Amino acid sequence: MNPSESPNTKMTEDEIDALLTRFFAEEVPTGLPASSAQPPRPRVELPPGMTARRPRPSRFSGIAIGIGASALLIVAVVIGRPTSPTEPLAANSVPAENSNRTPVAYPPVEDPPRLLERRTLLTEDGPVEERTHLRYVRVPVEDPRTGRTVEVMIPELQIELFPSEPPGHSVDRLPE
Amino acid sequence: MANRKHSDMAEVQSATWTERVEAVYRDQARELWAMFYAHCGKPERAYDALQEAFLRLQQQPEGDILDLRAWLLHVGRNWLRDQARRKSSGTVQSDSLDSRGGSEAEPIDSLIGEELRGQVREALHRLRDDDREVLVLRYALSWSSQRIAETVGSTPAAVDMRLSRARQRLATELEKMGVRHEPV
Repeated sequence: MNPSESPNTKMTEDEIDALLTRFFAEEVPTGLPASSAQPPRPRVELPPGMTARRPRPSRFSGIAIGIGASALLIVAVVIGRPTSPTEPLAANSVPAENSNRTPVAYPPVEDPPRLLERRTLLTEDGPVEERTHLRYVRVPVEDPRTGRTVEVMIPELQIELFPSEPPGHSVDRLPE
Repeated sequence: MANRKHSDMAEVQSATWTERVEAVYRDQARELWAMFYAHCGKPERAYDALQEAFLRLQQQPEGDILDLRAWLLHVGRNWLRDQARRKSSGTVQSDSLDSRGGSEAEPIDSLIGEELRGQVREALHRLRDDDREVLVLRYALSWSSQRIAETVGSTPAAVDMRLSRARQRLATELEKMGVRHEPV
């Protein structure tokens, strides 16, 4: 191995292995104890018939979900405000249960994306359809109290823009 | 009398707590250093984080912490994040730690020069976090794939695969920096 002046050949895995072995031999401070005396953590053996379960959400996950839901509502309000020059031509062809923009109660289960809003906007490139989906995703979060990773569900907004169909060609026309 | 007894008990508890912290240091210091190193990529800073975490642990009242290792990891990582934010903290990065280990060979005989060491550090820093983590656990702690798997929540086979890919990515990064294989 030679920096900068060697031929154009990438190091092999064995060479990397040897390099890292030597590198870390000098990188680790000698002030540290020689090696960790702690044995590997024993695995919890489950009795036959039992299966491992996901960790139950802690109080912390509830707080995280609350914060996420609040952020979602703020984002939804900001997005929902029509801004010039993209005034909606026709708004809300969404399913009836969401058409009045009632805040969606976040469910405790992971569900498929739910259409929150669909509207047509006038842009410089012509009319486009904006679809806003809401879904809940599981994300790992480190619990600051225990340092363990727990899974929490947070809301996620997905906004897609599609070129609007020419008049008369759409299979999903807005009601007149 | 009662005060004397209370004071004696406090001293005993304090001694017990100190011994416990020392025992945790003996058992966990190297592993924690490796975790901090994987986080920041700087041996001296990782060592500082380790010392800071144990210093704060020593100052904690006994019984307030359920999981000492998790607490130390959390405190050390937070300290590293704070340090990273303070770009003008004036921390001097010393490349010549008095306590640094290594061979007793003459510098000219050293297989890894300072230049190459810096390049390896930089290449490690460019890797993804999970790649760097398995490399540090394997090479800094000499852990088996089984033990790494238990720590990162994976399987030994998956760890071996990740190690192999991490080595290849490291080779790629080193190649970009001009560190290449020298044919015999």
